[in-house]
Amino acid sequence: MLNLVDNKTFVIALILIGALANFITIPVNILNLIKRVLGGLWISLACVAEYFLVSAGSGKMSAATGPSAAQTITQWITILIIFTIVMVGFFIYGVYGATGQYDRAEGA
Amino acid sequence: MANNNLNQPSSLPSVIASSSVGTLIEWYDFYIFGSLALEITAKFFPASNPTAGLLSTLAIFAVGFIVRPFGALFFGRLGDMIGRKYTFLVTLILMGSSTFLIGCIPGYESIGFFAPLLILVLRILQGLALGGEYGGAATYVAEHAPPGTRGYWMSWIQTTATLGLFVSLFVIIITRKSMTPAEFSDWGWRVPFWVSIILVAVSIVIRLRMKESPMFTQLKAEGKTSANPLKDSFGKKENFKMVLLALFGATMGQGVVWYTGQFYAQLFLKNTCKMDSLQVDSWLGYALLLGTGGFILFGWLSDKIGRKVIMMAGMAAALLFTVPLFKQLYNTASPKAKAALETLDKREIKLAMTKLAKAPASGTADSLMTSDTVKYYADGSKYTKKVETILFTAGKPAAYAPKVTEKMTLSESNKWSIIFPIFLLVIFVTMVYGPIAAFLVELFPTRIRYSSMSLPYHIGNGVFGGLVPFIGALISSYNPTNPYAGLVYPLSVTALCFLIGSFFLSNKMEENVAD
Repeated sequence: MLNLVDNKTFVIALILIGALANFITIPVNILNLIKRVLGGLWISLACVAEYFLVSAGSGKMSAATGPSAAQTITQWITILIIFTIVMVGFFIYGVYGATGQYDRAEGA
Repeated sequence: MANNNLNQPSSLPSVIASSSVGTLIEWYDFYIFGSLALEITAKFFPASNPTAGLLSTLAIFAVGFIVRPFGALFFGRLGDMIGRKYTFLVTLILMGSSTFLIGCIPGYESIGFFAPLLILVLRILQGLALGGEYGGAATYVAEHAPPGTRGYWMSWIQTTATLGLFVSLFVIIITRKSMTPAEFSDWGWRVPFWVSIILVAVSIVIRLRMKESPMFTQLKAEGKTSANPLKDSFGKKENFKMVLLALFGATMGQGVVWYTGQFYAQLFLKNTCKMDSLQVDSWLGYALLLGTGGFILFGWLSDKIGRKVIMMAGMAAALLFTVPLFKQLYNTASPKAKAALETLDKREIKLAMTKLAKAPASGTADSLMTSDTVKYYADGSKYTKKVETILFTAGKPAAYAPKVTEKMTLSESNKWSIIFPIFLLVIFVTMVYGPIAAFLVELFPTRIRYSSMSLPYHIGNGVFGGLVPFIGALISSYNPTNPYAGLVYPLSVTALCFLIGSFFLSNKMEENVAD
């Protein structure tokens, strides 16, 4: 993952895509289509991220031993609760995006 | 009363000053706990007591990102129902008294288990107060600021977080330098907490003279305030979707860029590069002070070219330059990266054997072996490493891992090689953080503005941003050979937020916020 965010090609491509959205006027119907597709992507991402979060957390908690085990478990339970709520929010955000709630009206 | 307020508005500079001073003090109060965490841990959370250790985890780890959003909800609701002025007066009193009391609690040796418990309770109150403060101050200033210059006026509020950190570092450094290390460790660390009560008293006097926000006063006079701001903010799809958009398209990226530039850089220099703590804090102070003007510049610029464009440019800059800047810090400060400059003839190693007075419980101790290594570098920097190992009789294996203490003290010639990269990181912070208050207040209507803007702000900063040091350290522990591994988390979140913000946010500025 570090390779990805440290990869200049990837970062520059991402910034170019962003620049496209920021500085070029995309036709409203195409922009709305992109938003809906991205909405679907956010739904998938929320599910995948939650799966990895629970896998990593449960692995760490079951492996915790010794005097610091209680602290490790507390930290992971806190992270799991908070990020599960955040991922539910991200999922709902994806649903709103995919169903056109963020569509821009023609001429707006 | 309402009309009187509307007819005689407070002057804008006095509104900004009175709001900003209080907010700065709240940030100061919140940061000194983190900056003095080592002293607090030693006094209140002894490692030998597991319960105290658990409370330490909760107090230091959890409050930053659990309690703040709850404070945002609680005080946001109050602010939308009874008014901005009284709500953020309450948060200021709560924060100030909690901070002062932290400085007064007797240590674990005096009152035992109650000491860490009281610290936890007061830390929770601090988190709640901070959660309520920022939204109130931002809303209050926004509802006074004229259209067209809102970004500029609100950027003064944005400087308070960085200046709060700067003032906290300054007070701690002055206190440290005015006494011996032993005195500071014994009682001197309490002084920055006591100073808070003076600052808060001054701020309360200033805030008591303030008038209620004219927009809120008018809304109240017309009976249009929300009866249930939380339901209106988060129970109605039209508003809730904007809360989600603010969080995922702006504040989550802003939070991680901010915490990476200010706190992770500090942690990186101290933990990964082993730099001297006092030197890191002093040089970080320079970078913060130099970069603070960026908040005003980008706030002002956001009135001219839009909020979104600047925030997205800040995230793009962070994506492009964060790793190279951290490499620069590492190459300048880390003893591992500076090895080529070392000359063997200037290395000093001293070994000392001391008979232990008291044997550890797990075996018969023989000696404590202390190994002191000092390395000098061509540029004048100095690195010290102390390894303490307990050696047992009759070849018994050591029951404890050696205790290693490392410190890299850089020469003055390296000063700007450290300050400049941090300054650039702070500039990225000012780009994403400078315009965000104006962006958030323009997204939500007056009747639910305090509640609606506070929650995404504190989830973005408290949860996503607040987790940067913890997750960064966690990822680094899995990749001990890669010093930059901890940057994966903030950069991934920034990349996602940049993509969402670029496509989903609008660059249009809402001129009229009196709705």
